[in-house]
Amino acid sequence: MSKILLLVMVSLLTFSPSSLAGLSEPIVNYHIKAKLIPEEKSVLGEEELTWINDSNKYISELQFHLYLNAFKNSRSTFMKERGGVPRRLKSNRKNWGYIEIDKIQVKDGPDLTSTIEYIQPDDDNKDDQTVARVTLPKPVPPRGKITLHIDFYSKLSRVVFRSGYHKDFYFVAQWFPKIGVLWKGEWNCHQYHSNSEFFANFGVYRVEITVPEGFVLGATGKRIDATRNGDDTITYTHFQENVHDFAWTASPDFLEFRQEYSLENPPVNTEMILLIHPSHRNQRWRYLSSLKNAIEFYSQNYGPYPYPTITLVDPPLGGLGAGGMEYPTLFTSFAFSWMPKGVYMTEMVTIHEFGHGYWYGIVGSNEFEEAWLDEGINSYSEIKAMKKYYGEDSSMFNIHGVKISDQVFHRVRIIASSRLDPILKNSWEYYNGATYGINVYSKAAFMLLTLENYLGEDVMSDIMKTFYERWKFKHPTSQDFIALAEEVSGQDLSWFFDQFLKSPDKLDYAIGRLRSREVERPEGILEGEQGLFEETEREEAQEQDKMYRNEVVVVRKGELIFPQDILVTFEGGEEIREQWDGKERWKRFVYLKPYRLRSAQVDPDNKVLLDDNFLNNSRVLKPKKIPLLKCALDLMFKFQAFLAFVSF
Amino acid sequence: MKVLKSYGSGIKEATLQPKMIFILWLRNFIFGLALFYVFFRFLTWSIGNSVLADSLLERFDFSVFFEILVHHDEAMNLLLMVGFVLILLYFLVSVFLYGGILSILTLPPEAKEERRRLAQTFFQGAGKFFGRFFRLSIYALLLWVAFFLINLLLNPLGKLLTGNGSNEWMGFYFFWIRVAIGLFLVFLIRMILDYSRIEIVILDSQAVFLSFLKTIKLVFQQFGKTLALYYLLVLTGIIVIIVFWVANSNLPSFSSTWMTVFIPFLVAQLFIAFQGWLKIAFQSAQLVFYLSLSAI
Repeated sequence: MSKILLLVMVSLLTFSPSSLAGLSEPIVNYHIKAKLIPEEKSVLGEEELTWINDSNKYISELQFHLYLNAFKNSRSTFMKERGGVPRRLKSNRKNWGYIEIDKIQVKDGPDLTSTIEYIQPDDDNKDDQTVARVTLPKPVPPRGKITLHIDFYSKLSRVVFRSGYHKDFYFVAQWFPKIGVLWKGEWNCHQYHSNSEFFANFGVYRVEITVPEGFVLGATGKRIDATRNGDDTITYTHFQENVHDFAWTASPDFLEFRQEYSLENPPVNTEMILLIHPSHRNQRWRYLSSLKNAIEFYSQNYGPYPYPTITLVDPPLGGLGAGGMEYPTLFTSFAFSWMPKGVYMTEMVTIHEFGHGYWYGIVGSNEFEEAWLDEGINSYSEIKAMKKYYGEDSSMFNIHGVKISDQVFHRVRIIASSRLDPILKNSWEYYNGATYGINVYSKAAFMLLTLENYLGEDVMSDIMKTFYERWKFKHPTSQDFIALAEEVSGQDLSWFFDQFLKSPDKLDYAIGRLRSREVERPEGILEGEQGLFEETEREEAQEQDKMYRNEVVVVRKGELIFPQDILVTFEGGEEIREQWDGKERWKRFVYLKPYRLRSAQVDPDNKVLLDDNFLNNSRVLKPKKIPLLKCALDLMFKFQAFLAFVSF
Repeated sequence: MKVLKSYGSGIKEATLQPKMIFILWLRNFIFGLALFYVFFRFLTWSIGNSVLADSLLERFDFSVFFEILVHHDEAMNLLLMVGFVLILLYFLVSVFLYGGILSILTLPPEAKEERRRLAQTFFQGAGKFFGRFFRLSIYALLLWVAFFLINLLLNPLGKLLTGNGSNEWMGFYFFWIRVAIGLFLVFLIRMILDYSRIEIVILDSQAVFLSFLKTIKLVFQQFGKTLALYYLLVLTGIIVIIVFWVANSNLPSFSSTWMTVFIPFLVAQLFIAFQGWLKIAFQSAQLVFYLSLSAI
């Protein structure tokens, strides 16, 4: 007990709330007491919620997310959109999850429990119970506040999607009645969808979690208290300002590693907490080094990491459904104990999920309606970070000379996609999960990388830093991002975002034709002719005066328009760079030169990463056969070796 | 001793058969060439005009490969189909050639005339036994079915050992154990078929299924020895693969791009020719071993 008290006192002394104080107005203030009941796989909770009406309207109803009800039955919108219930849930009645509000009342006021009504703001699925509203006896006036007391019971599902349990591993997320966002005078409280993630107000969370002694607990925020209760349970209190969610995890198997992290420029001081499953102990170095890289990259490129802690959770093999997910100051990654060193999957997921601490955690965009703002910007950041720390062309895989980059991985997803949706769309309205993922992650990331190449790295860096600084602890929209990009770059970028953000169409420029013909000497009756040459003189003169009409035709094969650079090279070694606004369907460039054309390349510096087909971006007049020969002979030998092995 | 003697005889006999090695290499080369031609045409069509083709000379570039894969997926499917058809044809040609190899290897020392007319003897034997060996391949499906059944039975065992997949290290080791079991079974089936073919040729047996059953019995009766001989030959193959790999990795760089392509190709073909030599060594060594058993 004394050890724990000492720990708490040290924590309180070292905890510096000044870096966060006053950064946002706490619309919500949660004080939750929760008790984990392992035998029921559930959490019993009491919540005191103070909510401020920051609109200029009188508000007579409150809306709440009851996310866990997505796992209540097969009729929830979540399950219907997924197209079926996973076997792990179906196999046993105990595997399902749900949340019940036992009582909700205004503090020292009337009981509102009887007014609870499930609503479905996004679809007509009357069976969906992931959003509820309660009617207030008297409206909350503008800038007024209301405090509610809520008793709730959360039955956790087996961990399939993000939250739940696997044996003694508990990942408790989207687990308490959470008030929606009153945005632009209306409730923005969407149902739990298969594709979408979340949206909530920034606020203050003080959460007391009681777990059996022997369980190791990790949670959002800083631990400020730990008290043994004398009944083989222990209550940990976590506190955090300026966050919009609270998640926690507990398991008796976790190994806990704590390490201080400091950076001089910009100044960062935080504590890295790694909760790792024992069988992954050998991957500890991988987690910690990639987390350090992530903190450094995001702090230096966007702004110093502002929270006193960051908790990285490694789920066990059976709990991988919780892996790769972000919550404020806490996230999950994943690893396998046997994973080879050159496979950077864990590093990529760790950097990506940490990055969400910025793009979602701090810059709190609406993931339901504009998921690209967190997923796309974060994938853009992830690609850059992976390049920096794990190599330009090997940032995903680097074993025995076989290299694949994170960027190539994203590009394959984009060019293989069916282009049914644009990047900007409500998350639940995408054609399917794949088009959602391709658009909001990969295509949005490539849109930003293309913008960076267009504007220049410095300008893009200013845009991202300014976006972070201006919108931290706030809720920006796509329009806010566009306006800021235009402001910082000093350019009208509507043509760019109108196309790439809002259209599913294709961008594809190609070298359509390449021709080089000797210019024939004029024949026939020509004005100004000076008479005939001697035969020998003429031949010599022809040899000296040989001219070639070199022709390059660049074509726009896709619907989208982007200005293009074109590089034309000649046999004499001369190079000419052309620029084309790319608006017409094609453009011809003609050069009269004493030598032939060698090649032409559209986008020679590979700046337009959204271009659908890199194979047609260039053309040579005389194709080189040797590289093709080498490649084909390599395959031939592999095939021969295969035949030799399987034949006898 | 019997095993080592058979191994030595097999190696010696294979080394004395350059023409047969050539035939086996040629068979492999022709099939390789067929795929080469189709693939080369495909590359010329898909990427030949692009500057990106240059990147293929340096190293295998996945970014270029993925572009080709996505933008020419139908052609790639066609290429796979061609590969599949070539494998089927190769199998049939291999079944045909077995008869020739064994006809030569089983020639008595006094059959000088037949040895002089090697090609004729070879192809006569190939034609004579093709039907029987083809039937044998069909009967061998029984063994392959057993192979898949054993693999299926390993699934629940794996679940049990790995705690339904929750013990990662056990899962990892079990995966490699399964690979080892799989290879062991594949080699065992090949060995049984080798002895079946030898028995059919030696006895000039028309009762293929009976020979098949008899050799299964023989292999299990002499399990340690047959296995030891087979794995000595496998080891020989592995050593040469390592030598080839080291040689290939240490090839000097050439100033001429043609040499950069041609020399590795030459080394590769030497490796394939060695594979032919090894095949003959397998047949010959097991034949000597089979005959030594018959002599008892």
